[in-house]
Amino acid sequence: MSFLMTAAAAATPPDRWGYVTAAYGSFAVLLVLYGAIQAWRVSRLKNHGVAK
Amino acid sequence: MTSVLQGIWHRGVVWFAPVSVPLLVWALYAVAQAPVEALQGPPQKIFYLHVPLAWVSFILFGGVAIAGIGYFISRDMFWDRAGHGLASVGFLMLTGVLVTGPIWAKPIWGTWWVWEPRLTTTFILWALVAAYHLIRIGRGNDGWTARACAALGIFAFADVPVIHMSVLWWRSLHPFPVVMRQGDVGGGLDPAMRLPLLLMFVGLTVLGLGLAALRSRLREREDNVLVAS
Repeated sequence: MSFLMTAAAAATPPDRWGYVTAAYGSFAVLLVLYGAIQAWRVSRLKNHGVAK
Repeated sequence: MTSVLQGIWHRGVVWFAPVSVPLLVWALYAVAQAPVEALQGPPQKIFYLHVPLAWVSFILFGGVAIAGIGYFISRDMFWDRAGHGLASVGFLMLTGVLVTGPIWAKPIWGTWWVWEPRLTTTFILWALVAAYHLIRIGRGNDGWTARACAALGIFAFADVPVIHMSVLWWRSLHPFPVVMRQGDVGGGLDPAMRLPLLLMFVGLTVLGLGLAALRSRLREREDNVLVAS
């Protein structure tokens, strides 16, 4: 029985949804970083009394 | 003419950024609903992000080249600011291409990266655009920088058709184009996979243009601060 379970586990492909999450998540992180850099630029302008 | 374009770019296209949000939510829903590819399994869903990111970055770098030509013809700093905004978001999108590609390649090819023609030519474009931004960071946005970046933007765009044709000219590991058949190769994308791809492409294009216009408008205000101080 344990042999069958081991064989079944070996035959089951690993869950590869993690790669999908990593790809979409990494682009979301890039977008957030880009937004943070632009927000910093706007705050720098606000310190000069330029940006609304 | 330039003032009309500037009005459209700085006050019209900037609204593309918020408009892209519902489009991208719809696109993500369509990606979730798309069938799981039989051979590759779930990692194939990275295709719906990776490919549109590449297309959108190429469109944005096309815009950088047009802005460069516009600057050389008119010497108007609007073109430099527009090119700066487009290159800024193009760099973001191209970095997304170079991050999502290896995440797909690891489970499918068994390796994160191979120095094959498509990947190498894409990395060259990324390095050229990185140089474009390093010049701006290092020197500030003066007339010399505007001329150098206009020339570099035009030169970098020349790599885009090479990237596109690389899988046909030098057959290697990267897949053929799957949306449109090119000569005897490529094509064959399942119709159920076309809608999420199209939605993601439209959503990312609208987002990219909106963010580029926003960056360009911000650059104009930064320039005004420099002039005032």
